[in-house]
Amino acid sequence: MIAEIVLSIFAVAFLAYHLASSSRPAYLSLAVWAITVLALLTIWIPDFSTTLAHWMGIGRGADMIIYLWMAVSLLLFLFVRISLFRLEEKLTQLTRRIALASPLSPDKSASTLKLL
Amino acid sequence: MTQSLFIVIPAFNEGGVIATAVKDALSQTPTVIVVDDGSVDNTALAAHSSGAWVLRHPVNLGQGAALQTGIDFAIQQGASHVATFDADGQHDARDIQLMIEQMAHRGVDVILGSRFLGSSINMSTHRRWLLMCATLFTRITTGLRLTDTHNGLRLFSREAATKIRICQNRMAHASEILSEIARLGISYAEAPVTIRYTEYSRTKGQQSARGSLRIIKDLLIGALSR
Repeated sequence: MIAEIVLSIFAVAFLAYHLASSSRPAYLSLAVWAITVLALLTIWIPDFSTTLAHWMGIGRGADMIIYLWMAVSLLLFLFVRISLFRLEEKLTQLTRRIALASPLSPDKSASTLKLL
Repeated sequence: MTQSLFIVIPAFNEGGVIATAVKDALSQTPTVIVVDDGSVDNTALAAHSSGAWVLRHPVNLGQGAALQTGIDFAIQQGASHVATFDADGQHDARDIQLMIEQMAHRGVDVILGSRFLGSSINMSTHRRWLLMCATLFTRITTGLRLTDTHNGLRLFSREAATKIRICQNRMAHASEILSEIARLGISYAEAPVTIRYTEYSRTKGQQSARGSLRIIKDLLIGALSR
């Protein structure tokens, strides 16, 4: 019972964290709700994961959970990488603005040039 | 020579060679822009002393980012043509004259330099094979029929330079430029140029198999981010 309660708290906390996020694309919300509901069903109905695994053509419920966790982890990694790309775009815009704000003409003195 | 030709040279820690590249470029136009991409050596000072405009990125972003910064500045300053040129001495600025003539003669907005139509000096067999694979990749992904898809010597009309936006900061920008040309339906042609490989340019870590995989990865992430 303790394990079920602790794991349920984690599942609900995961959902709550997502609901508290400012940008929530619809597909991501759907995925988070689905993961949370499946997690709670798996926690409180012991045979659920085995039934679902058999339906998916996998031998054991535990194996299904591992496979799904691997897939979710790879997807999460991809999302993080895409977020980093978008952050880099903002950094690039800022850096470019700084560079364009202070061009050094060949006619001007280079006294302001120093190692960055 | 067109007076509103701007030559953009992205540079990162090229203090030892940038002066030569700038002087070569100045033989073709009075307006050379060096974008110092967060160098920690005297690249900016050497470029300025040689007679170039200097723009400085406070942090290193990559050759693609530096090129876009330089192109933006050139457009702001009223350039009618923008040429991109490498800092490591691989290119010959005299080729730009031919590229301008080709652009006018063929009525296109982009001229892409091709070492396979021109000549390459001291190119390794490994690099030749990698470039051939890159050419095939470009043909499959963009439909563009080119002989050299990773040549830093390019000439853009003002219109093309304004339309094309380089979002890939690092080496994938070369493929991205071609994708943009295809996507936007910009007219283009190739012109023969000379690429000279030196010991220095080889140590700068140009194309390698791992670099090619990195380019594909960056292109994929860029596409998924849209």
